[in-house]
Amino acid sequence: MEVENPHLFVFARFDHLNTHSRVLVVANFDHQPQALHVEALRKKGYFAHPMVKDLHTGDTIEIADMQLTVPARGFFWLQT
Amino acid sequence: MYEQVSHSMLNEILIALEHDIKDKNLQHYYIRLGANFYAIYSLFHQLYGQHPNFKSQLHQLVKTMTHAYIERPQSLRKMDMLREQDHNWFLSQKWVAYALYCKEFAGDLKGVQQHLGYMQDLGVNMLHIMPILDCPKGKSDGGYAVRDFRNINPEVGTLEDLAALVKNLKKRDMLLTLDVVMNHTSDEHEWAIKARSGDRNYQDYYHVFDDREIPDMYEETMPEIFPEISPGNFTWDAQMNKWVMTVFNDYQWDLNYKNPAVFIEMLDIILFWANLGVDVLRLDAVAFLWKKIGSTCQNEREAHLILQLMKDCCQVTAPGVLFIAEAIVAPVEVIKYFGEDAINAKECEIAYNATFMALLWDAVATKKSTLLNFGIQSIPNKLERATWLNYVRCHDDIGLGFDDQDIYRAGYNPKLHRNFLLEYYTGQHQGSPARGVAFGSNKKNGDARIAGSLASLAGLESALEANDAYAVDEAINTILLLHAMILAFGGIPLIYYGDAVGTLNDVSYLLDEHKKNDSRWVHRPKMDWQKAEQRSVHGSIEYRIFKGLKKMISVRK
Repeated sequence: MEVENPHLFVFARFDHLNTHSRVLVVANFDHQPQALHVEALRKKGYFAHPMVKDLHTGDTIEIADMQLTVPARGFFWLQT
Repeated sequence: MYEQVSHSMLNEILIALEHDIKDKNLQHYYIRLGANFYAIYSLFHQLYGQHPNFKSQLHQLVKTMTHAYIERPQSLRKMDMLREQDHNWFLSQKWVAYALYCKEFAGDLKGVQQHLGYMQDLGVNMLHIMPILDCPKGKSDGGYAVRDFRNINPEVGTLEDLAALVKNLKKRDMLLTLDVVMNHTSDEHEWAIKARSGDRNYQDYYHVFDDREIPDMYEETMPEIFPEISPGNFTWDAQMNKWVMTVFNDYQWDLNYKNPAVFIEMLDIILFWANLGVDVLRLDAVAFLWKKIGSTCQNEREAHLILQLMKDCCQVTAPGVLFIAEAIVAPVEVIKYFGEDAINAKECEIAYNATFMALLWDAVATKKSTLLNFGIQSIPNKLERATWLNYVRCHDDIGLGFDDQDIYRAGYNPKLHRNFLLEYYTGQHQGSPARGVAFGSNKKNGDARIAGSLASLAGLESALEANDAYAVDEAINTILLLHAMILAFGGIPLIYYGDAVGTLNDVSYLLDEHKKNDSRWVHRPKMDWQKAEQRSVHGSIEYRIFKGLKKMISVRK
């Protein structure tokens, strides 16, 4: 998926058996933390709620100011 | 035409109806043979219809399949039935592949068994053991120059050892993948030896020429695979007094698939391994199967026909077995190795996603996902009932197989960008933490590929050298990030041995007479089991990488 930040790699993964189940993968290839602006993705149906779960760590993340900070060389597997 | 869903139903009906059919053991085989025979005949005719021995070769083809089925153990036949009922069995998220060299990983096949616990600890369950067929020592190209297709390299074990391993794997619900090198044989293979002694029948197994006339015509359009070690595609054989086609190393003779006997021999070999309980057969260098003057001799249509035919025959005899295509070519070409469409032409169920792999490395070097995004869009939608094998590193080098159009779209100049990546990964670029080694440099066109272990390429080696904790963190994060991508992307993720504990480059290959000219050995080290043990030491690098990877794998499942 195209996002404005060139350092971020974002794609959605669907379960071929259960199409309601999906994961949004967000990766940051830069050496600095980078912000993902969620507004554009909200329009596609993601980030409907301010809280998202990172399936990788199990943590729940609160989206503040319409952006999600991705750590340097870091990633999220988000349920959203 | 052969279609699993209807076959399963047909089988159930027939079982319910069957009474006293004399040889009921062959029943399932006959059904599948009947269902597939039109396709098999068609393909065989397309490929070999002009051959004077067509009819007798067709007879031999069916005889080969029949004998192979009779040999197929009952337990495997049962497994075939189960897999036919759940024909998407291999698409499950649970499969995570792991590739290793038997000798380097554990010494021998018995040793591999002893380390299955490690694999289960990590969470991998689809074991790919790099070629273990009998090869001449020293001139084996890592196992890809086969001297005897039905025997195992005595250095790593025997067929009994393999049987024991297969049994053990099945107990643990793990799959086994083995290579079958379809495109070529060692020049010490029995067929080559016979060819050398003047036997015309066996010379016809290869591409053999009296003089340079035809070879030169081929050379006009064929690229060089190993320009540094083995330039040119033909080798003069003094004993035979002829030129023989050797696309890979000069001791690897390309098989001539225009000869139906070659196809049938290879089918028999494939079924031999299927009958030993191998779940997945990795068909190496399949892009090269068909040679034609005026072409690159890669991805020719007939190569696909050969694979389709192989698949159809294997489906009749051993339907539970999958094919992986090792076709490291452009995305639009790779997709064809799945088959032209799900019904008419099925070839391989799994193919290496080399494009994704190269794009990930681009993102690491550029710190941007620009080319990655363009490149991903270029990968066409794949088929149902087929899947990608996604990987970060494997036994081979990294080829920068990007589409030049994509590179332009990303705002780079193709030649300059490839140069940048090569310099970055070989550590020549200013400030690059990567420690890779160039491979396959072609002086004529500046083309080159990259060798090196995951950890060294990701900057861990230089970080440790500099004793820079921050850089170490970054390298570990990069390693985990790369794996997070292949574990999340659609397909089967493949993890390379040693990567889970951050194995660095191993330069000892430079001391080995037979390896020193092939820099790929830098990332094919002897597994350091003491290092692997460090994974239980809290806070160690091995711990951090292993635990990170293990966690991602379990979340994925």
